[in-house]
Amino acid sequence: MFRLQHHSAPCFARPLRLLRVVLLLLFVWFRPIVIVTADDLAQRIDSLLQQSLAVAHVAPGPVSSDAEFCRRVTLDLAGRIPTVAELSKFLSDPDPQRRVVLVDRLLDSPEHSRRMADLFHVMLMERRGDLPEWTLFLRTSFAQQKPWDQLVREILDPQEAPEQIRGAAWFITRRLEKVGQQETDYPGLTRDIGRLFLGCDLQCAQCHDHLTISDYRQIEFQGLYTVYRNTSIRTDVKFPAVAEKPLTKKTDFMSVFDKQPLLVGPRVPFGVEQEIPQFESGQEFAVAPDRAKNFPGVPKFRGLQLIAQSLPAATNRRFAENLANRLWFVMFGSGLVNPLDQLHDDNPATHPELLSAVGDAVTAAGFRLRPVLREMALSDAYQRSSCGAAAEAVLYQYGREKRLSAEQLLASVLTACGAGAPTAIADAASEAEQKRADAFVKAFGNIPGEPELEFSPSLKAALFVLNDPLMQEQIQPRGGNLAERLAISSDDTAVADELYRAVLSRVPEAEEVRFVCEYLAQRREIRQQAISNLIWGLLASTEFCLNH
Amino acid sequence: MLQPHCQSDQHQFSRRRWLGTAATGTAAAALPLFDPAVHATLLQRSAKQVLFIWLDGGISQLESWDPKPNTEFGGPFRAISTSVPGIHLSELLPQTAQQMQHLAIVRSLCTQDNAHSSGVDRIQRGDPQDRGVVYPYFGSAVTKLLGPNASGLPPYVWIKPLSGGFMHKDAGFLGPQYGSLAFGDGKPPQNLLQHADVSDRFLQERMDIRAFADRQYARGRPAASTAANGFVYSMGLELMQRRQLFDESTFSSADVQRYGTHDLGRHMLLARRMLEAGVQFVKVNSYGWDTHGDNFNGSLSLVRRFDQPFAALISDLAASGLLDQVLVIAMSEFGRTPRVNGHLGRDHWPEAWSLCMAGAGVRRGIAVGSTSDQGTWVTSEPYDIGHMFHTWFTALGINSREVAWDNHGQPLPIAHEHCHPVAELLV
Amino acid sequence: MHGIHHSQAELRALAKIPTSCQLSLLRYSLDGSLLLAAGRDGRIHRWRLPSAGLPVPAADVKSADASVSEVLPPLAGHNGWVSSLEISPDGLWLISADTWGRLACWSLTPTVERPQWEHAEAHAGWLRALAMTPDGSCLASCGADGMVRLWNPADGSLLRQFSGGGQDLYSVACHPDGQRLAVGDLRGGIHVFDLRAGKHLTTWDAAEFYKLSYIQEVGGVRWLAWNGDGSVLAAAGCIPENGGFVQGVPSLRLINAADGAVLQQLKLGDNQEGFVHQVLWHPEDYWMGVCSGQPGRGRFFLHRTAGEAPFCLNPQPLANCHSAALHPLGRQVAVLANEGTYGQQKSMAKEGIYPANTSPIHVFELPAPGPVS
Repeated sequence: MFRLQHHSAPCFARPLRLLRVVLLLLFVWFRPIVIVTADDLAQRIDSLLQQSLAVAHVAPGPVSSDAEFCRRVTLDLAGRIPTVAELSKFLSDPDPQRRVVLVDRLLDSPEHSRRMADLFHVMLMERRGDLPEWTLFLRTSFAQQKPWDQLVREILDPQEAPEQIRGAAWFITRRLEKVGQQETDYPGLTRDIGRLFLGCDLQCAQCHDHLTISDYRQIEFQGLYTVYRNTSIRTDVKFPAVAEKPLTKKTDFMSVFDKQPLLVGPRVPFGVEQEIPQFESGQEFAVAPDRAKNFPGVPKFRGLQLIAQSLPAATNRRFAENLANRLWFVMFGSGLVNPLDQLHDDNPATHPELLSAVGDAVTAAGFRLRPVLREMALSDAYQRSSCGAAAEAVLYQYGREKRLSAEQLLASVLTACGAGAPTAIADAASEAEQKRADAFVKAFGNIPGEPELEFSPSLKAALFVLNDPLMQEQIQPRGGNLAERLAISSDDTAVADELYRAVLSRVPEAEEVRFVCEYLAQRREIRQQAISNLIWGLLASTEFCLNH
Repeated sequence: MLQPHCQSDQHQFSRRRWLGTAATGTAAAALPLFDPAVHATLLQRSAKQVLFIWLDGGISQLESWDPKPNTEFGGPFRAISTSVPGIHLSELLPQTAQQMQHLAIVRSLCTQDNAHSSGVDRIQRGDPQDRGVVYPYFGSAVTKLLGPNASGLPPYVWIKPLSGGFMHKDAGFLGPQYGSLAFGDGKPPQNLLQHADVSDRFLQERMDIRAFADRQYARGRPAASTAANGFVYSMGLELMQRRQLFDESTFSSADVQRYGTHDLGRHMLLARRMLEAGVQFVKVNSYGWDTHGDNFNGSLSLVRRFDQPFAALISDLAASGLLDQVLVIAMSEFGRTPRVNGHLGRDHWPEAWSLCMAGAGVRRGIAVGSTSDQGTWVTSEPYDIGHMFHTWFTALGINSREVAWDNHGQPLPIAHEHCHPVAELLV
Repeated sequence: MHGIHHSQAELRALAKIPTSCQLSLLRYSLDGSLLLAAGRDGRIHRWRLPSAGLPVPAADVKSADASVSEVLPPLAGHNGWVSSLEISPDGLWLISADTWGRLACWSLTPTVERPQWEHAEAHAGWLRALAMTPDGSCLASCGADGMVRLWNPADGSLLRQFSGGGQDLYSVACHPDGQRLAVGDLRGGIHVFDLRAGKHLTTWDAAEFYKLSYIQEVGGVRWLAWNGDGSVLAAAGCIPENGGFVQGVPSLRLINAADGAVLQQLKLGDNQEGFVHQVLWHPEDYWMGVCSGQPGRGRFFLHRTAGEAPFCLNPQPLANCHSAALHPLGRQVAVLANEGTYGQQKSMAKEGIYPANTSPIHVFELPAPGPVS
C-alpha cells in the first residue's frame, strides 16, 4: 500500500537550469515517498513533526533538560526512575552523545525486557489477573528480543511446547473463563483480538455494519468470530491450553437492521475468507481425541492456525500500524490514532504520514521493538520538554505528561526510598514482594477490562499513599535507605539536594532548597520524622506519579 | 432487542467512543479546581441531596404501603391508621405510620421486568430506551447533574452489608469516577484510617509539603493534573478528618436505640450522619426481601426492621429541617404477587406495586395512585420507573425534559422520553 | 434425599377433597364425624365424614371417592387467617384463633353459627397456637406478642398470663400429665413452664432452628408435640440457610423430656425444602409429620424415635404439606397439601382470571400395626 518512485536526473549538459526547473516541478508534482527503515525513523519523525508545527505557526518547545530526559527515558525503557548515582553520573557526563549512550544502555539492560513484559501484560490482559506461565512467556519473550509478530503468533495459536511459551494460551483461556452464570464470552474474545492486534474495535459490528465507521462491517467481526466460537479451555491439562473443535461450517449471520442472511467462513478482518476443507466423517482430526483422558484432539484444519498465519503478517498493514500506534503511545503519550483501537479510514491519524512512517519502520525492523523504540527515543520530538506547555499547545510542540503504571510506581518508590542501588530483578517474587506488588496494582490499577491510558488520580490511590503501611515502611529509616541517609546527615542543603535527586530525579531549585532547610531547621528534635514527612510529600506529589 | 442471530449479551458501545477522546479519566472534565473563587461558586450551587433506600428483592406492598386486609389475597395482617386521616398502612409499619405527614406513597407503579438480575439494573438506571449505551444508576446520574457540592466529601456513598470499596459499575457511560464509594457494613474503605505512626500534625505537614511540590510542578504547565491529584488528596484528607462520621462508637446510645442495633438500623443512622455532613447522594441497601417462601413471618421480621430506622430517620430529618433539601426514596425492583404460593410466599409482581418518597420538592402526606380491591392491577394512571425518574429529577431542580446527556454530540434523555413528571407528587 | 429410605410400610391414598382456598390446619372432631380446617380466608371450613372413617376402596381401585364427604357451611367471624384450632377433650367444643388476635369458642353442634364466647384481642396481633390440658380445664394460647395466656375454656375467663421469654412464640404443647407446658419461640428456644403455677421450669435450646440472615430472623420452633407418655418432646422447624426465599432443611428434633438431651435431629430433605410444619404422635408408637418442599417434594412421613429415617412416606408426589390430622380411630390421616399455580404469570385479573391456590385434603389409610422395618 505504499508506492515507490525513483527519480534519476538525466545527464544533459546544456539546458541544465531549465532541466532543474523541470525536475523541481516534477519533484513537487510527484512527491517522493521514501521507505523508512528503522535507522532513519528519528529523522523522519522530526521532519514530519517540524512540518506540522510549521503549518500551525508555532515553534517547537525547548529541549528537555538532562534531568528531565534521564528520568523520562529511564521510566519508559527500564520501568523506573533513575537512582541518584545514575542521575548524577548522567548530569556530570561531558560526552555530547550521552543521551544516545543512555538509551542504548537502558535498552540492553535486563530491566528493559522486564519493563516490556510488564507493559504488554497490562496492555494485553488489562488487569484480568496474573498467572505464572503467562508471566514467564512474556518475560522470556522480551529477554530473547522476540519480534512482535512471532509473539503474537504464539498468542494466537498457542503451543504446549516449548514450556516457556505455553503460557501464551492464557490470553485466550482467561477470556474464555465463564463469569458466574453468563455464557462464555466469545464475542468479547473476538473483539479483543481485533482491538489489541489490529487496532480495530469491532464490537459494534457484531450485530450490524458499524453505524458510523464504514470499514467496520459485520463480516469483519463474524469472520473472526467463526474461529473463536470453536475454542474452549482444555480441561485435561493443568497449564493454560486451548482446545478447538473441528471447524466444519460457516457462520450464518444477519444484520439486525436489514435481516439479510449471510454466511462467512474463517477470516481475518479486512482479509480474505478461507475455504473450509471438508473431511470425511472421522477424518477431521490430525490427532484423535481421547475421551477417557478428556483430550479434545487436534483438528486437521484449525482456525487458530489460520489466524496466526495471516493476521500477524508483514503484509497486513493494520497489524503493523497497530503496533506502531501503540509504541508511539507508550513513548509520546498520545496515539497517532485515538482511541488506540479505532484505526480506520474515518478516524484518520493526527499525522497520517507519520503513522505510515512508523508502520514502515516497524515492518522493516522485522517487528523487533528495540530498534523502533531506540529511534523514537533519539528523536528531537521525544526529547522535548513538557515544561512551558500551555493548555492550548499544539500536539508535539511540547513533551506530554504520561500515566505511570502501578509497576512503574512501585519500582520508582523502591528506587527512590531504597539504599541506592536499583532494585534487583528476581525471577520469582517472594510472598511479601508479591503482596506488595498486588497492593500497588489494587491501588493504582484500573478495574479489569479498562485499558490504562490517561492519568486518573483516584481516591483509592490517595488513601493508599496517605495511610497504607507499605508506603509508611518505605519512609522509615532502615538499612541505609534514603530516610536513614538523610536523617544521619546534618547538612540541610545536602539533604535537600539528595532528597530531590532521589525522589524527583532532579536538582532542587533555590526556592526548594530554602523550603527544605527552613522546614528542617524548625524541627531539629524530630528530625527523623521531619525527613520522613519530606520524603512523603514528594512521593505524593504529582511530579512523582507522572512521567513528564 | 435481541435478534435470533445476534448473540451479544451486551450490545454496548465503548463509552470512550461515545464520550469522545477527551475521555473518562481526564481530570479537567470531571473535577473542579479547588481554589477559593471556584469554592465560592460551589457554595451557591444546589444543596440538594438524596437518600436512596434500596430494599433488594422486592418488599411486599401488601405487607407495607398498600395493605388489603380481609381480602382474598390480603394475608394475615391488619391495616392501621396513620397520622394522615384516610391513609392506612400495614400494621407492620407502626412507627412509619406516625410519620405519614411527611411522606408521599405511590401505589400505582407498573413496570416491565419481573426478574432480579435484569430488574434491579433497569429500575436503578431508569429503564431507558435501549440505545446501546449503559445508562448510569440514579446516584451516578444525580451527582453528575448536580455537580459537586461544598462538602469536600465523596459525592456518592453506598452503605451496604458485606463488602465495600470503590464501585465503578453504577456509573455506566459516565465513567468510573462517578461510581460509588461503598461502606461495607458501614465500614470505611481500606486505608481510610490514619496510620498509627502519623500524628495529625504530621499529616497536615505532609499535605503542605505535597501542596508545595505541586505548586512548583504546576509552574509552566497546565493545571489539570495537579488539580485532579490535589482534589483526590483533599477528599481523602477530608474523609480521614471526618472519620468520626462512620465511627460507630461516636453514635449516641439514644440514637442507636431509636434506630435499632440491627444492620439496617445502624446503616440508616450512618446514612443520616452522611447526609448531615453534606454527602450528596447516599444509597442504603438492605438485602433479603425476596420472600418467595414464608413471606408473612418474613415480613414480620423484615418490614418491622425497616419501619424502625426509617421512621426515626424521617423524624430526625424533619426535625432538623434537612428534609427540605434531602429527597428520600425507599423502594425495591418490583412488588410481590397477591397470590400466595405453596411455600406461603409471594412471588415477583411488577404489575402493581408501591414505593415511598419524601423530602425535597415532594408533596407531603399523600398517597398517589390506587390498585384494585385485591391488589392485582393498577386502577389509576399506571407509572413506570421513567415517571419516577422524571419526578425525582424535577424535585431536585433538574429539568428532566430539557437537560440531556451529551452523547458525542447527540443528546440522550436523562429519563425515559415517553414518561413525564408526576404533577401530583411535586410541590 | 437426605435421611429417607424405602420401606415396607405403605400409605394408601383414599380420597382427595378439594377446597376453595388455602388452609393452614386440620382437626378431626372427637368422634371422627367432622373434619375442620383453619382457612386463610378467615373462616373455619367443615366437612362431615363417616365417623368410622372414609371407606377403603378395593385394592385394585386406583382413584378414591371423595363424594362421601359433605361440605358444611364455614364458620365466619374471624379476620385475616384462622391460625389455630383446638378441640376440647370431651369433644364438645371447638376453640379457634386468628392472626388478628381473636380467640373464639364454638359449640361443635353442626348448626352453630356464632361462638359461645370470644375475645377480639386475646393477643396483640397474631395468635399462633393453642393447646388444651387433657382434662379440659385449661386452654393455653401463645402468639407473636410473646405472651402465654391460660384461659378457662368454659367461659373464656383469663386464668393467668406470663411472658414466654421475650420472643415471638410459634408453638405450644401441653404435657400429657397436664402439669407442664412447652412453648417454642422464633429463636429456637423451647421453654417449659409449670402450668398451674405459671413458673418457668427450664429452657431447651434448639438454636439450629434459627438464623439471622441479613436483617431477617428466620426459622422458629414451628410445632411442638409430646409423645403418649410425655417422655419425648418433638420440635418441628427448619435448619435455615438463608432468609428471603427461605432455604433450609426441614428438620425434626426429638428431645428427652427428663433431661433435655437431644435424642435425634432428623433431616427431612435438602436445603431447598423448607419446614416441617407439624408433627403428631400416633398411639402405635410413632410420629407423623408434614413438611414443605420444592415443587412435588412436599412430604408426609411416619417415623419412630431413633429410627434412622422415616419408615413411611406419602405414596405419590405432594406439593407443600402444611398440616395433618389423625382420625380418632387411628387408621386414617388427613393431610393438607398445596395445589395451584406458583410463580409470577402476568396478571389477567382485569379479564377476571387470577386464580388463587388451594389446599386439597388427602386422606390416607395408615399402615397396619405390627412389626415394620
